[in-house]
Amino acid sequence: MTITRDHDLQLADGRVLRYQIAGTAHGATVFLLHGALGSRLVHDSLSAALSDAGIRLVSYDRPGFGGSTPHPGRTVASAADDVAAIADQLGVDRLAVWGPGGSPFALACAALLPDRVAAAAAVAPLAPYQASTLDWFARHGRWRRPDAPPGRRRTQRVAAGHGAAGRGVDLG
Amino acid sequence: MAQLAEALTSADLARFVEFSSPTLPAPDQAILKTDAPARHARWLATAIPGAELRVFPDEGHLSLVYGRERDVLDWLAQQLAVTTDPKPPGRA
Repeated sequence: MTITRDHDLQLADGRVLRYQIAGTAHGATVFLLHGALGSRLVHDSLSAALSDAGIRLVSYDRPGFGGSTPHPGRTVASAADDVAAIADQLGVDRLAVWGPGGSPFALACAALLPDRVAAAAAVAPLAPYQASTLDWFARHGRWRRPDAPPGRRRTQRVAAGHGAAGRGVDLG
Repeated sequence: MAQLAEALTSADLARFVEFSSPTLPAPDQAILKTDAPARHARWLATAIPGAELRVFPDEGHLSLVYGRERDVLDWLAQQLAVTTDPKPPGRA
């Protein structure tokens, strides 16, 4: 059974969160945290996998995306409050979070809602920018260190990263 | 963990608690493999207590989302079944 109707939740601060529910109606609940170029609709191509896995997926527009009100001043951690609010409305005590693109937000939910979040899947995640033991930008194709000089270095780095595979990825 | 907490928010530090959930950082390799390099996932797997690292050497950022979704969803369902209900999910 697949449900894809939109639901709007009005929060105490006046913001609206828009979400959809998809997959197995009474399945285990997984929240999807979309990435920077996403919305609640990114689950659209996943319906078969959801049914096979017996999962009820809750996919919401993060603030400022789709039908959800912008939330100036929000932090990555704010996602935990928004997920908790939707879970409250749905009466869900235990859930998992899945970040296909929104992995920092999924990890925030796991960190801040430990009694509620049973598991978090951070798919192709990014580590915190402040991670001092990690060279955050090394071999990174899309982003460069803010103080890096302009020029061709990014394109070269992408080409080097793909090497003999020869994929024609041009990130400009 | 301090670094992770700082990344999540500086204002909400007081609310930060230790991770107690199993986590699955699944790094990125092939298509746009430099977009979310695997070392980020390795760093997270080291920083998060109890984290489980899975590497898919032939997958990339997008192919992990749209090609390996079943692996991820099955893992999440398994974790929820262990912690919430002795019955496997999806029997309803």
